[in-house]
Amino acid sequence: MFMIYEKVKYLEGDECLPISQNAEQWKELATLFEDVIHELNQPVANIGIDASDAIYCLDKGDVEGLRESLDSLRLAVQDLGERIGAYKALTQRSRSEETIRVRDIVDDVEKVLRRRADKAKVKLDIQLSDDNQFNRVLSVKGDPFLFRMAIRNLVHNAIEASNDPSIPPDRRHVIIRGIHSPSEDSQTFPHGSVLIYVRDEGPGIPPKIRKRIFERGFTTKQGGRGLGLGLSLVQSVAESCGGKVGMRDVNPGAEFWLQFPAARHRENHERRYDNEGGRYRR
Amino acid sequence: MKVVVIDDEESLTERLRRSLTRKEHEVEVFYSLKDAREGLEGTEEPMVVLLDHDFGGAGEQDQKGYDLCGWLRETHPFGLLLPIIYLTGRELPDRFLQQQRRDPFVHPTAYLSKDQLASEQDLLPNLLKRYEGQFERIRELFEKQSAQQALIAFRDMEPEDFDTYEVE
Repeated sequence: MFMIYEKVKYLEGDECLPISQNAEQWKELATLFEDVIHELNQPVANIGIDASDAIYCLDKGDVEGLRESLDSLRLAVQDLGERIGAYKALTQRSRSEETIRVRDIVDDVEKVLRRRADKAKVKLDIQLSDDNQFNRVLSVKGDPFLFRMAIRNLVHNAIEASNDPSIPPDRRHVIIRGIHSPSEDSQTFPHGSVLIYVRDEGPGIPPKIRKRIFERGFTTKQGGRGLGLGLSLVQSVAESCGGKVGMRDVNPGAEFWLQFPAARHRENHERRYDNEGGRYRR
Repeated sequence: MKVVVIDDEESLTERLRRSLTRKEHEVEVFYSLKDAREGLEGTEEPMVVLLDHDFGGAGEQDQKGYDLCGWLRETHPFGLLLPIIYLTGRELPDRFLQQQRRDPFVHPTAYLSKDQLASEQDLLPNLLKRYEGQFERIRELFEKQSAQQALIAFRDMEPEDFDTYEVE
């Protein structure tokens, strides 16, 4: 998706990258496709079993059985629709400049990754301070696809890190935290910035490879943490949105952060002043 | 015929249980490799095993369906002749075929991708019908003929989709 776009961009330009330099991109793309296949395989299999079962009941004249199979089929199709809907949101490729609520992006990412997290017995803890001291709903301006891609990759990596067999159950959680930061650099972040932290309590990133984790083609799998989708992709997405990405040392685990220019969300103007609380509230 | 379903995905196992029971199979379901080992310990009756690959949902990240496959081949009297249908999801067929080359006496009898349950709806019923017909023949081979001949019979039970993929 983003990778395809990049690939087309290369091919459209005067210069094509050698295949060897694109190998890592294709590897990441293959991982992404595997991810999609994995998510969709389950409801598709369920639909197949239910449909086959319904035909069997019909042939046998088993009306109760037929009803049961069709009810089950309806649920399986609904499940498939929900999963596709979540991916559809991830694959929109318009280079739009929308003002988007961070909560909407994180909700989309959570929908896509919830099952993976459940399977790995990893709890997703989302803490977005929409009702913050600056009276700002967390919102950013840019292409929703790119924001989703960047956050999704970080959360995916955090889930994978937490899924390490050596991690006990009480450390199997991923915290996704979003805060508004007032402007320190009026040129880069004229309306302040939105900081999104993704933290896990996995094995962490070994100190000797920390400087290289954002390099294209660098894999940390031998270091005990798989970053299969590529932090270089997250970095290029963050930069194309006028933002930054980084990593902070925490113990135990790792915390990655994304910083994007904040946008004044329309909903900010719809807030009303709460006399009792002395703060602006929705 | 007894069918044992071993998968940590409840929505799939319950559907398989309902569908196979309707077709007059005796169905036993296990949601983890540990439960399957405990439940199948000492089992000697003929059965077809439907086995998933990944059991992360059951908290068994360090084990795969292959581990149980090897255990079944060692402990069940049918050994290599026990029909084990491996349910694959995310994984690609060539990875399984490479695994098969590494451990030729552990590998499953057939591979069935979960999407094939939708795209080729006759595949599973046909496989089950085929194994059911072969059980009598296998039993006879065990009772009356040599192990070598039994292994020749096993050759006839190669997965139907093997010829689709080429192993280097």
